[in-house]
Amino acid sequence: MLSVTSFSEVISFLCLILAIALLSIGVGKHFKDCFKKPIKERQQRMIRGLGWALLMLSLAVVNPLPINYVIWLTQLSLIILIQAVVLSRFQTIRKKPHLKLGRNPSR
Amino acid sequence: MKTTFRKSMIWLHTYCGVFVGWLLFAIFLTGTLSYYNEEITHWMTGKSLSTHSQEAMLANGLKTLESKVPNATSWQIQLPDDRGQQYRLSYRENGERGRIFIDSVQLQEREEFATEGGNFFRTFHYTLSLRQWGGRYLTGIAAMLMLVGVFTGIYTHRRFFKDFFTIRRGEPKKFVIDLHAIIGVITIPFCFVISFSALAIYINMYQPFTIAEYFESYRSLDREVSTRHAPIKALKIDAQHPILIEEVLTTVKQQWGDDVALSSLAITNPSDVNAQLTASKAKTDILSNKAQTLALTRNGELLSSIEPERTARMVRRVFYGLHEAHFATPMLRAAFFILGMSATILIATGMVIWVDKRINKQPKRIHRFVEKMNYGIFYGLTLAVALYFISSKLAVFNLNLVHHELTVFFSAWLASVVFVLVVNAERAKFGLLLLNTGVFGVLLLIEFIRLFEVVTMDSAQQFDVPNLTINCWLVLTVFYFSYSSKKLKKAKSESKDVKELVQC
Repeated sequence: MLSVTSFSEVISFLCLILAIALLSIGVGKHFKDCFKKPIKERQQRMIRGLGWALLMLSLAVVNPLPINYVIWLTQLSLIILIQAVVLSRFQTIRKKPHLKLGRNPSR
Repeated sequence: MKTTFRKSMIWLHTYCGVFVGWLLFAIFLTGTLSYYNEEITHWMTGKSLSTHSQEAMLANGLKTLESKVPNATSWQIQLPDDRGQQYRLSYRENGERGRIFIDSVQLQEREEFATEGGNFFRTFHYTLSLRQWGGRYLTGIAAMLMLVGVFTGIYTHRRFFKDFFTIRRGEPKKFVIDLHAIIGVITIPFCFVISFSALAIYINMYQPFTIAEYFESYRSLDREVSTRHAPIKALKIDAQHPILIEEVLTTVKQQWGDDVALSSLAITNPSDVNAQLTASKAKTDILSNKAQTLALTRNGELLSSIEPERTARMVRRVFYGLHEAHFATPMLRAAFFILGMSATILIATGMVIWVDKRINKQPKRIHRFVEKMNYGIFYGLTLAVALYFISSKLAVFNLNLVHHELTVFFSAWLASVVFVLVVNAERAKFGLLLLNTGVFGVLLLIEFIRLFEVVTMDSAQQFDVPNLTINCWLVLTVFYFSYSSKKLKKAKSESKDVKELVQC
């Protein structure tokens, strides 16, 4: 996305996208919104672990020049923003139980 | 004092933001625009990018300076780049500085541009056009409070880390809160670097007593901690031949590679046998704001290299460089621009949340005032920016307002503020959104006319990246304002329907 000139930068960028996608899916409500079923604890641990591992890998393969770390951090910020916007499209509006049933909770 | 640490942090975050919110909005908006400083000037003046080699431009610069100011004590040639940087010569003669502007396509002397172009936003964002009246102190205070706001925001919006990646689109009020929180998180590094570097850049102004303890003045501090090439003494003997630019460039290429891009060439004692040349490399691959330089003789022989600076100085230079982002490629620059605009939205949403929370509970006159002023400051500033652009772009219709561009900018902003104060808040917001759509739309129309001329009339102007970049952002801006005004109109008609239903 940003000054993608070498192979390592492409790998880093792809890992970053995948990492953020996995980390966001690892959040229970986003998983439910996307796959219409609740996430299992083991699944969540695996997804999050893989997400963090990919994030670390993405940082590790960056060509070690100061300017490349600035690019990486900028990519990270923008991918999180884009991911949040994408997830908001899948979102289902959750209502509190009393609102669903049309009851007044104070009663 | 609040009962818990978190409550204290929330209080600090709220009132730091509210206290300087409008000022920060103006600083961040104009500061973000100044990422495209050169591109905006290029776009506003409608000039073409240079197609000449740097050898040709350096040779032309030397020839012009030799013919115009042969006895000057120093010369400098500022080379244009692919962002639209101006081709400029400067000199010092009898203790006085002078500048010569060169058309980078014709390679002939031209008049200075009447417009301040993108440079206005750059100077405004740190001086507020109050350079002699403490403008830089005001921006310094704003930067300090922004830093406080960034750190206290982490405590205030800590729930966001639990609800990561969540934006609730369906509920307008929650949408604003979520937007504020997510932008707050993604711009933490950006806001920290920008606010901290803003303080570091003018540290010599903000720490006068510390400097006075160790140095005569902040200028002497700069002299002592900056390194430069050791000067060679003038022999006061006139040189027999002009500067051998080809030899100079050969040495430069041997040191930095064949495809090196230079940003400038400075020459001390140009007519003397012992003239000293300093070639500066374009700052495209370093974070520091100090360019890599080579010192050479007039025959292209290499002189002593520059000594590295102290670590503290280098750290400040890196922050300075990060603030200016001169190293950024077009894509990275666009990313910085998006982050800058996000930080601007962060500030605006913060102000909106503060008002919304209070105005629905116990509306007071101050809340109504802040709500109205929010619209006046935010949408008024964007309108002022659009009219600033138009004042030079109207030259297409022989209506040149370029000499009044600053008057237009400040009058439009002031008029917007007055407008919101005398009109109902919702109506004022809608009016300003419509005005923004209209003015940015007119700007886009003018650009279409210009592009039509370029395509059909075989104009000297060409398509180039700086123009394309600004036009892309312009299209997005028009889209944003028209979408917002439509949405607001729809919301207004829906609430009217609901009211009528309730009355029935």
